[in-house]
Amino acid sequence: MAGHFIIPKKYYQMTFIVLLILTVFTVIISRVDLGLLNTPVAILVASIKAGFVGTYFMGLKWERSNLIFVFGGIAAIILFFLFTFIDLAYRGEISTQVIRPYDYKSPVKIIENYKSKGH
Amino acid sequence: MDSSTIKKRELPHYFKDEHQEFEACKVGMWAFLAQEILFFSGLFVAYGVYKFFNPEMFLYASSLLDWKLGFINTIFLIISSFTMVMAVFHIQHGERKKTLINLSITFLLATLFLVIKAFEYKSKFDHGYFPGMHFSGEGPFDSLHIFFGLYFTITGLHALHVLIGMGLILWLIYRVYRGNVTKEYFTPVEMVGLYWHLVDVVWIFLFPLLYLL
Repeated sequence: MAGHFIIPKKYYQMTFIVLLILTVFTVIISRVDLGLLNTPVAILVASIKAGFVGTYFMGLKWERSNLIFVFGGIAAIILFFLFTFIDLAYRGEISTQVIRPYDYKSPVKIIENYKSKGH
Repeated sequence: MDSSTIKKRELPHYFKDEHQEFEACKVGMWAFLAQEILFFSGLFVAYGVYKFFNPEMFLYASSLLDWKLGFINTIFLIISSFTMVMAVFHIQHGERKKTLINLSITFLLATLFLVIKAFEYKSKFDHGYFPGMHFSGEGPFDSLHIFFGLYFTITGLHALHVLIGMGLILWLIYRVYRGNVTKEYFTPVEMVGLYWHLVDVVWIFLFPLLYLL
């Protein structure tokens, strides 16, 4: 393809070395007890690595338009986690405040013996 | 191979030029990759939920996995990602032989990845950690099967992606060898490359989450 932009080799080599270093770093940092911080640190390092892969290996640095898919995906994941964990963290706390939520006079008249009337 | 015997590839009539074709393919590929991200995100949320409920069990269970094997597999996938971009680089420069070498190394590393994965699975089976009716894993936690359920589902689906990627790389090797894919038309190499990097990115997250934490 004539005139197509070719990403210089040096970016690939640099990314490769950074990825190897960060992989070793991931293992080392996981051996250190950081308490609650272990998981966030591991995810952060993995995100940096994924960022390098996306930016240079997948060439997003040179074609910004496709970033919409990446950010769309990340936004969806954040929403997914956010709503799931809001539910998990506060499950049971809201419904206990309303003691008998279903005990109200219904304005809808419920037909009794619905089935027996031949419908 | 005599290049004159190969029929010159014709541009599909619905594209204005080769550049537009390439860009259109790339947008489509990225849409597919976004879908893949969402596909794996469901598994990551499942992991997060169960880790939230069983933090100690997850800590114990991940110590049952051999992080050294996971580490070697991570290195294999990173090298294979590098050889993949080098294959793209060389096909863009029209160096057919170097492209074939890089694609072959990528394929080989993917095979090694699956071989190590198979040994890992074997040892888990031997310990009775495969969830289901034959689960016999013992330990201080009676919820151990949850971790291994997630482990086998997530790594299994990832391994399936590796397997599909290997098939695609074989197809690329064939097409580059035949001379269908050249400096003038390298779209398939680039697209398979993008897919392969996504498989790598997923493993980059899986390795610390399953083996180290």
